[in-house]
Amino acid sequence: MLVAALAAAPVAAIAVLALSPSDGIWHHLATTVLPGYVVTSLTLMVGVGLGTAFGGVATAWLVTMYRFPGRRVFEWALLLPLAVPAYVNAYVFTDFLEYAGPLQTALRDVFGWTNRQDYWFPEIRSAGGAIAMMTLVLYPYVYLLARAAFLSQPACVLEVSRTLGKGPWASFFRVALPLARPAIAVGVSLVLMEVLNDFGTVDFFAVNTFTAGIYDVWMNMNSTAGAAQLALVLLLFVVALVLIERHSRRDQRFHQTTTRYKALPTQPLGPAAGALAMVFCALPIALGFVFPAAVLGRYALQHYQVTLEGDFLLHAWHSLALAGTSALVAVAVGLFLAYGARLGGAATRAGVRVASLGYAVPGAVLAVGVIVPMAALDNSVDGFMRATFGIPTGLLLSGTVVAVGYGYLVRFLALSYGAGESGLARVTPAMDGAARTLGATPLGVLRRVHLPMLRGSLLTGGILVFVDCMKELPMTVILRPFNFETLATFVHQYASDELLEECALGALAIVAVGVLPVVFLSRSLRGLRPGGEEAS
Amino acid sequence: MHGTTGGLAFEGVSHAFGPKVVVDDVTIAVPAGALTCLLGPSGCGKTTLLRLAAGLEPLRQGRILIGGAVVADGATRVAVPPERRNVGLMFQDYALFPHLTLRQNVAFGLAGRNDDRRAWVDEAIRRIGLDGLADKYPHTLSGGQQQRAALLRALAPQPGVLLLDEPFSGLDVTRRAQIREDTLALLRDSGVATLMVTHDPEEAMFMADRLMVMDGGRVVQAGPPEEIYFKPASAYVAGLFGKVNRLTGTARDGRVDTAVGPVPARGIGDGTAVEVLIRPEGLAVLPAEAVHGTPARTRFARLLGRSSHVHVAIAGDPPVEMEARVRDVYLPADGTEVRVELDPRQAFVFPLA
Repeated sequence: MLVAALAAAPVAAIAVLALSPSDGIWHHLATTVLPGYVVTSLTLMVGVGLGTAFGGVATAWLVTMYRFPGRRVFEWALLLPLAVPAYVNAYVFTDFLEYAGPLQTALRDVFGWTNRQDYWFPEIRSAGGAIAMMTLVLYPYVYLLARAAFLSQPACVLEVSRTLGKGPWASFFRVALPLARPAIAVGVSLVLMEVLNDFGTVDFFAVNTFTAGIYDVWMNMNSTAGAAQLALVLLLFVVALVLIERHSRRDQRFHQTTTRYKALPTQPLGPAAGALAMVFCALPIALGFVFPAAVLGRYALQHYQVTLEGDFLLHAWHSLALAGTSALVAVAVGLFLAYGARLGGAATRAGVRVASLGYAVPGAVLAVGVIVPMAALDNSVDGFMRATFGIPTGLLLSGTVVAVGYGYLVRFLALSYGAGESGLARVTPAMDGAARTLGATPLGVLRRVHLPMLRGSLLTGGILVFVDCMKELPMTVILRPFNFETLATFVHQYASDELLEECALGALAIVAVGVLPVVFLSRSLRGLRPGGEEAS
Repeated sequence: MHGTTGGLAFEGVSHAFGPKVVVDDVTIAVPAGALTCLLGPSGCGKTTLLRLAAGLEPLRQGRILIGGAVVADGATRVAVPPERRNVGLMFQDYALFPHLTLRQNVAFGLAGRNDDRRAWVDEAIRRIGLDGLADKYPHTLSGGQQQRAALLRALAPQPGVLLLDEPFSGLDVTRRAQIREDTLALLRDSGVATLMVTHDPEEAMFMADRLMVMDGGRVVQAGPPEEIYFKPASAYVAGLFGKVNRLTGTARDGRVDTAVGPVPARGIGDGTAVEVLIRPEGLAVLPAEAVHGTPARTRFARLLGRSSHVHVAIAGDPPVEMEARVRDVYLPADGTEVRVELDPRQAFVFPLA
């Protein structure tokens, strides 16, 4: 319960702060920037939602149902863009596509254009550009869940639809798609949460979404209350999303009428269709992973000396230490909560659910929520010490690494908790009983039964938390101590100053770390189909 | 391809998965208005035949005709896609669409606004006693209700051929008999040519107008159920209907002498080593005072419900132990003296290979 309260504290703080009478900035905000934030955020959500739904479902269907050259590679390679943070992709594409970038320069050379007035070129730094960037790196969420759903569909349901007179297309739209709908909805809502959470891309593109707005009000207008109010509105968006997601998951239980699985027969595609399918699957991988990684790799090779001369190693150390510690703590707390939910009553379970909600809360909101109670705590401690001992303690927690770590913990607890929970689910009460009757003490059961069975899940959870901490930008930017840089903030800082070449090594490091969970995900995806080997 | 005329025909169909031949030169005609049953153990190729007929498996060799028209030909690569074959297929586990209600499931195969058939759907749901459940989702239905829904769904588009894959295997034993009767009545009414696959001999006997026994991808015997039961063409077919007593002997003068008396062996040459199969129900256990039969002692008796299962030991060199099935309750103490009499209709002689 205490842990749950700790995790819920930031959100509660925002609500209190936002609802308490303030300097009247709310009225100002509501009449000036708020409508813009709402429209931009909604535009991004609709655009990215549609884009990822289409791309994710189409690629998942192709690799699940059809045989074409490279399918086995695409199966896991389609997950790779997940390793690239949207902001990194945005830096790379901007660098390539902007007026002074190689593409436009080349075009000018070829066609003899001399300036901007001579030709039209899409502006990458726009809402459309942000939608494209985010779609490219976020579609794997939908792909992952849609593919899992397609894989777990019994083949005979599709076959029966065929014998009832529906062609392949009609069968897809009337049977396969509705069956996978809950999974797709979950995938899209994850994507939308990421969209709301994104700070790097929108800040860089100067697209004014809520997250960018919170940062702006906080840093430039110096209004905590205003930021909190914006954060609360954003939170309402998220709550709506969570409700939608819960709603579609509720249907999930009647999505299995059969326990029998048959290897899903894959159909070979003709040469033309096969080539088309290949291109369709290769495109998002190329744009979402290969291209940015290649560009960053080239820059990193050219400029690594400059980068290393700077504080790169220090930044990297900050990132590693912070992410590593947070991952360890998150796994421990997550496991603790998972046991709490297993052994405790309904109240504990409800508390645990609240505690794991942090993942849905955008980083910028959490940052505001973390800093406010911490500052209050610091101030009261400071006041108490000053009054009692005459020693000013100043700010003990806020603006320190602890604040960042706490933010990470609240935000990513859901990941480690989920891992712990799914691991514990495999340890049935009967196993405990069996071990006890075989003479093991309760501690012995933990050590000899639970721990070995949980090890894999805990490792996975830890890695997920670690990677997400490495990538995390908005919270780090707001909460970090003065002059404290992690790889993410370092990359963001340099890229914003158009110095992508010099921070390429850092971006590349983040991407490289991000590949780790992709490996795990693709491995667990392979074990999904209970029918075993696919028909070859 | 219209309605109830024509039926389904396999002509010289063979099929293999990799090197494993699962269907070997099968020729079958399934006439309209009758129920044909494929009987065989799992893995004998029965289900593959259904999938070939439905077009869910590409045909490699042979031809398949529905309503007199070729729908698949291994030689010319003709392959009508499943949705245009006008077949109804019911899967072993029903494969109801979990996202649709019972009524939507049944009406799935109806094209456009076909008011006649929609009325039929409502009427049919009422007739099979599910009218209160029409708007329920499949997971809330019992196994028997799901089975009936799946059957109706397959019948709703008025298929030329109905294919049933182990239609009763998912039901618990107590409900099975009733559902079998209901299904049979429904099929009789619709008059559709039906090909059903099962591994349960009792079910096959009950449902079939014509029975085909499959083994190793081949049809080893075809005929009316009683012919298959009383005139099995091989030891394999005789053994399908449950456990049998197996004895060996030598044919002489058109008969074989066994521990329970002579068994006719027509058409088998003198001196041929033979196998004699005697069904447990072909052995009558009589009191020791009876004038017929071979003296024996009971060894082990158990009540199965409607019948009793008795082991009898017959003295001799070597002594023979056999199994008999006796109607009603018959539980003699171990070692009771009895006589055993053979019903020659339940004893079959085949030359040993």
